[in-house]
Amino acid sequence: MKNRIKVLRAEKNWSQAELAERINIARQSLNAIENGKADPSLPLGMRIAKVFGLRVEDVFGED
Amino acid sequence: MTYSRKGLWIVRGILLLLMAAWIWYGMVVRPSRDILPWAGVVFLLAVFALAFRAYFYLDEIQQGDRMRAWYYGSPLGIAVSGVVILYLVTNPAFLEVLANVFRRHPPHKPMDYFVAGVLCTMLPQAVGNYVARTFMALAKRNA
Repeated sequence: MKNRIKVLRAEKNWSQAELAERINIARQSLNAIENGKADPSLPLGMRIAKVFGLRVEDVFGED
Repeated sequence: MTYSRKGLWIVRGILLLLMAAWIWYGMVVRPSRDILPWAGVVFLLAVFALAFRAYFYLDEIQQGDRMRAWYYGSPLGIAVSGVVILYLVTNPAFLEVLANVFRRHPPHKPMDYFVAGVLCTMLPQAVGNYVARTFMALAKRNA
């Protein structure tokens, strides 16, 4: 699944480790999500969107 | 689900200590053959309990990866054991060598057979799990 996490993270000037800590997952897992190698569940997707102050559909999109 | 890096490291540390204790128990204390299989069962149960706890310290992506590794690794381990068994059955000379080893160190009690059976079933699956994890990690890296 495509997502804008990397772009949004860069805008906030957060490292992967920092964002991973905010959403309480491992940095490697965040890396896998960012690169589209793993898909988050809806609750995790909502958590990610929430830390950016956005809606899920603003962060995650269709392939 | 609560991901906890600290919790994971604590469980890993306890597992390492447990393994060291098991080696110490087997090599220094040298328990009798009556007690050893039962101690092995207690040790295995403790390892399973800790591994079960560690699973819930992982995040959902890691949990999914672990489940996938077991899904592919277990049949892989069983298939490889099947090939080994087929090889042994079709090579009587090699089977005779193995039989001689057992004759020299005969397992005396049903519990010995039970522990050996559990180990022969679980070990290939555990190895298969790690092989699958290695392949999955390599695939992720190369993707």
